[in-house]
Amino acid sequence: MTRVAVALGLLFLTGCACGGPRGPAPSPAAQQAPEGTLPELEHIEVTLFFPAEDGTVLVPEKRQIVKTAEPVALAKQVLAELVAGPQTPGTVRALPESTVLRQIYLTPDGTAFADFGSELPAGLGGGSESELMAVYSIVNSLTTNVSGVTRVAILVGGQPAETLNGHLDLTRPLAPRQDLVRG
Amino acid sequence: MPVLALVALLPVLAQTPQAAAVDARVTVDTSGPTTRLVVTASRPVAWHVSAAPTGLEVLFDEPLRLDVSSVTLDDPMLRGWHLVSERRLQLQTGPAFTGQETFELRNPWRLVLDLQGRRPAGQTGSARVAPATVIVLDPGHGGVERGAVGPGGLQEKEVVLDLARRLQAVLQRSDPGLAVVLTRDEDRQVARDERTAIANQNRAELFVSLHLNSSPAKGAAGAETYFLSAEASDDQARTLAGVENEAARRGEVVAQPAAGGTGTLDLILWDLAQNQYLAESGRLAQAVQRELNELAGTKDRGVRQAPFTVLMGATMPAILVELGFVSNPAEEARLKDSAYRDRMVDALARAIQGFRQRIASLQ
Repeated sequence: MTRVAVALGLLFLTGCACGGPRGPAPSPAAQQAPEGTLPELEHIEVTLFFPAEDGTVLVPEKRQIVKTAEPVALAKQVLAELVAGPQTPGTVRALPESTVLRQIYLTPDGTAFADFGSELPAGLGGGSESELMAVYSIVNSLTTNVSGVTRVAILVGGQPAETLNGHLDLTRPLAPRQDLVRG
Repeated sequence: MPVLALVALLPVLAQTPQAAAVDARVTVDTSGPTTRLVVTASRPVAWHVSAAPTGLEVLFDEPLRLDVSSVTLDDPMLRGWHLVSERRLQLQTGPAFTGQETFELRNPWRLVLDLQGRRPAGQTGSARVAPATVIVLDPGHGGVERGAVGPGGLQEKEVVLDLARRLQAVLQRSDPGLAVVLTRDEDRQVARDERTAIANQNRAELFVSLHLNSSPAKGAAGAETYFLSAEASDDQARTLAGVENEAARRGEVVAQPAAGGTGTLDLILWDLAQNQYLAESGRLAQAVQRELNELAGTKDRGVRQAPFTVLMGATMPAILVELGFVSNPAEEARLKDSAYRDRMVDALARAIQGFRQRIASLQ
């Protein structure tokens, strides 16, 4: 526990060299080497949260991704899968296709700081519904899949953001909302 | 882990009570129903509150260093405070003071004294006509902040301003003693904390923020009414005050990119303010949602809760109404229709009037 915390602390201080703007998320299939050249990659199941078509609730979607033991890498993969969009019929994307994750930091107190480019607020439209669904798809997906993460702070362009499009307070880390998830 | 924790504690244990004075400041907020005195210090300090000839006295275990050592106030609950010695803070309470509630918050460490009492309506002194009851209506967005825009070009900021003006007229016609204040009566941008401040400064009875929704989901339609989520008040306050915060216990500074000095402090205290009104806010939201369903015939998306920033600082029942999805072509067409706008305004007026009658009957 302490060792992980120290490692994360170091990571927080030095920053992570593996982030930066990136294109659309590679699908699990694309990350696999052609058959026979490498040992088969291990996969894990993650649960992502996408808005239902009417925008009232988040619907869980289970998906296999390439296994990683490193929490920051896992958090990035989870967000990349969110940006890639849903596969479940009757659900819609929570984040604009153009969304860029600039960086993600995990702190020892269980807070994930997810720093997005300005494409996220710009692509969101003006309604509180799209803001609520985008924010809690991020918060619920990260806290559900990355062990130790209990709250998520959303930053834009490396800066604390008041809101994404004018409604939902982002000045402090948010805890997941089970009441927004379809049971 | 246990070994490391002990090592981390050693410097704390090594500190003697005679350590250097703790940097602190004292602020007073008289905008809410209680008068709130806050001592913010650079690290946690043990304290004890007791009655004193002047009113109240707070004794601290460690010496405090303040920039200002005494302040005189013109407040019915608090006449002033004075740091009489490095460890003794005296509060001179006013004639309206009846009791206090005291609690701690963390990050930064704060001691909060909520001084209760009856705040006289209007100015103190001579007999005065009771000030008009104020309701604040808040048309969302404005200016460069367009808000939601429909596929046909209908703009949220224009529709909600028109609805707020219509609602203002209906409410004032029904009750001449009522003053209905708009947070903006033109197409201009207003900061969200300014909107709430207008309601607080006017000591408004109710705060109603009007919005139109939009969604990338084609099926999204209907009206919903929000009040502040408990998470944004209870839970956050509990976490901030929490003894669970291991990092704080170890004396570490927790990374807080959102921390903005007094701005964050104000926000947290304001959260607690709306917390007192959550039940009433929920009832007002229910009333609005019911009337919208019945009178305006909107599709019911129900009463919901979210940490909406415009509701956070309100020291009165406060709601945010999403009247329809401008992103939905059918709803956009309805929202353009003047008769439909009147139906929505009638529904809102009925809900507000019913809620106010209920409050009046309880008093």
